[in-house]
Amino acid sequence: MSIIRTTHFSRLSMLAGENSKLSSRLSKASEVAATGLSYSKPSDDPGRVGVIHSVREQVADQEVWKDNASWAENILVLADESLSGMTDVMATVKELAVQMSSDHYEAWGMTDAVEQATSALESMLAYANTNLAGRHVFAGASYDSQAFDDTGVYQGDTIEPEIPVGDDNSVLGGFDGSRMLQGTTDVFKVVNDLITALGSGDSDNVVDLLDDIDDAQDQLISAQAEVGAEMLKVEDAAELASSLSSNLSQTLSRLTEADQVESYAELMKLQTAYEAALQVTAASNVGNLFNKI
Amino acid sequence: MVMSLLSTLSMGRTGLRVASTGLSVTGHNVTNATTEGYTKRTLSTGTRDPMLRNGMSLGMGVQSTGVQRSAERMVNEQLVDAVGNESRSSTAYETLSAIETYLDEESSSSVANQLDRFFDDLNELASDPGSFSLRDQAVNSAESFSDSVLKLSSELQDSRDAILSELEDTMTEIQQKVNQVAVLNAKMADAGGITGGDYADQAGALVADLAEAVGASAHFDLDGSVTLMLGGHAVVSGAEAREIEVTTDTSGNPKVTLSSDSATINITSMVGGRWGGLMDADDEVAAAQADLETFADTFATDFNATHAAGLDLSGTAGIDFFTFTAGDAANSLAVDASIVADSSLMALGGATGTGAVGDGENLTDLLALEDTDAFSGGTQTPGEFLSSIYRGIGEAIREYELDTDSYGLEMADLQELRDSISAVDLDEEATELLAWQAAYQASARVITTASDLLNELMGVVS
Repeated sequence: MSIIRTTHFSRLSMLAGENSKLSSRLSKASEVAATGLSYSKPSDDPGRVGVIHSVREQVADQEVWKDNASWAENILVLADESLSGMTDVMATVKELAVQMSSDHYEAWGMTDAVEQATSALESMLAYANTNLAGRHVFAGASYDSQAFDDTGVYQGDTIEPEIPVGDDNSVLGGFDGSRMLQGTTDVFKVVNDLITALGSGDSDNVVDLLDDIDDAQDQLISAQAEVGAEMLKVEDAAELASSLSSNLSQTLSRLTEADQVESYAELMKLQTAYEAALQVTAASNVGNLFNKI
Repeated sequence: MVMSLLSTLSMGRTGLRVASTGLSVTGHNVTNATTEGYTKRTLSTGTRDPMLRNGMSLGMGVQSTGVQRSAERMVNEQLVDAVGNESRSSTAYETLSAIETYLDEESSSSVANQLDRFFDDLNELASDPGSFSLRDQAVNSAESFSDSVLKLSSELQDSRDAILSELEDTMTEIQQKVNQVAVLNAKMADAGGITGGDYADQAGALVADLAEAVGASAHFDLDGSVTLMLGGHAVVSGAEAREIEVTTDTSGNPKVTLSSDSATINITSMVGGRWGGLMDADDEVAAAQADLETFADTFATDFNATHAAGLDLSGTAGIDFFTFTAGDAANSLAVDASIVADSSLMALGGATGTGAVGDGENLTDLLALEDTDAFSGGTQTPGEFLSSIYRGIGEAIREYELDTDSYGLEMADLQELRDSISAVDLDEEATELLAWQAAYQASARVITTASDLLNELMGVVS
């Protein structure tokens, strides 16, 4: 469209319109440069709203996973230490049983062994009832109370609480003590049986229990292995959450933050253009022929 | 000879009269140089009928043959349409941009962020389902989430109310302008074209206002009168104007009608300009409102169903976690008061569980809702559906922004073209002024010369 005639006022009106547009762009560029954000509202980049929301959600999730993993790790470390303690106690029980399986010991020796075995049972139960801030690690989901009573009867729950440590990834945050310590072999029953056998004063009865003691040791080793596997899982999850948190935060920055150099250059460019436009406007308002006649 | 000198005097007088009229037209142009809608006038002149004497044709001077408005009807009509289009898109853009701030995208109190926080707290609760502090924390974040839904819903409704108010508040002013166009049409008809120029300009300015306000289009007749149209329906035809009324339909949406003595026509979909932009924005907000209602209803219903399948800390089946009024979930969503008072009522345990404190089986099912495609025909998670509400408004704003730029350019081009034809140029007018001044002085000189000669002649005779 060719404009064949321009007037003073239409020229000023056109310049005012152009200045207004430039001013608007300058305002936006100033906001980006000042906040450092290229995305602050959906209309800034509608196509990426879903991605940005999703990444934000994932960044927040990773913080929860890390916290949960840290909590789970504390529980698992305690479980591992308890099982380790029980394994040590069971080793002394085994030594005692091997000793007492010999015919050399008199009745007084057996009485002393009963005391040692009883003490071992108490230690094992203490380990089995270990808790972290009131949370009993071998009581299953009923972790607010002791897992075992004084005789080794399970008081807990068969549900094992799971702690989410990632997307579709959770670790055990407690164990069913009846499965873990009394599953294939009831470790407390074995020690109780040994106490009974020692109390009978008959070494043959003790000999009959040696295999059971071995099974109890295997049971504890197996439990430790299970806890160890969960610990590895939680360590991996914590590492993954930490790594994802860092990567996702960087991704979020790329999606929402402006390139400082680029935004500053854009601001400078628009400032220069705006100043030039104002000068052009001023220069255009030079008056008209009426000023000359 | 005497007769001829008297004719010359008369001829000089015609020159003075025309030059005086020319100065008047130029003065009219100069004084209206900044008047909105004013169209430059040009005085056209012609020779008077000659006097035939002794076989000769003697000129009898000059006369004004008319004052022309420098207007191009087609350009003016296109400009009216462009003004309406630009006004519509810029209004929708500005209105939605203001509403966009309610989404609180950068704020932690946005619905999307509160939903994330609620699920984050539930995830944390999964590490110790029996913990009262974690249960209370999750209940608190659920309350914040439901509050954020209520807040957004209320703000969206407030926006719609404000839009309707503006439509209603401007209705009287618009009707007055419509009526004024009809009055001016009548005046133009009565004036028979003698003073039609000014009335036509006044009508043109009103048409531009109405194009901006309601997207009216116009047909300018040769006599300067205007036929004003809205979506193919005449709003003003000749001296008759019809009534424009804003009401609401049964759903509470704005409704614009055009009425005459014989009929009332629904022209809601045909309205453009600022009104059209406001109603476009209202449509977007209404869609967002409907989506928010779907979100609140579906999410709360699904959450309640899963919650009811679990057991609380006392081993009792879960009650509804969220309460809401069916069909108005976005305005009534709340966490059940008894759960707020006693977080042990959160049914996190499995239905087949034992009610143990650490039983989080049902909590796992509740957490799974975050990633369940329960929206948009089973294709979107709650978060994705919420994002689509945000995206919808964002996309609409971008679209209207682009339209505003595009229509703005078209309008500016047409305005320049219109100005190139119709606007007053002060340099031109100054030149015209000098020309008419010179013409006046020359005509006066003709008169003084003829007068001198007549005096000379009278002296000889006496």
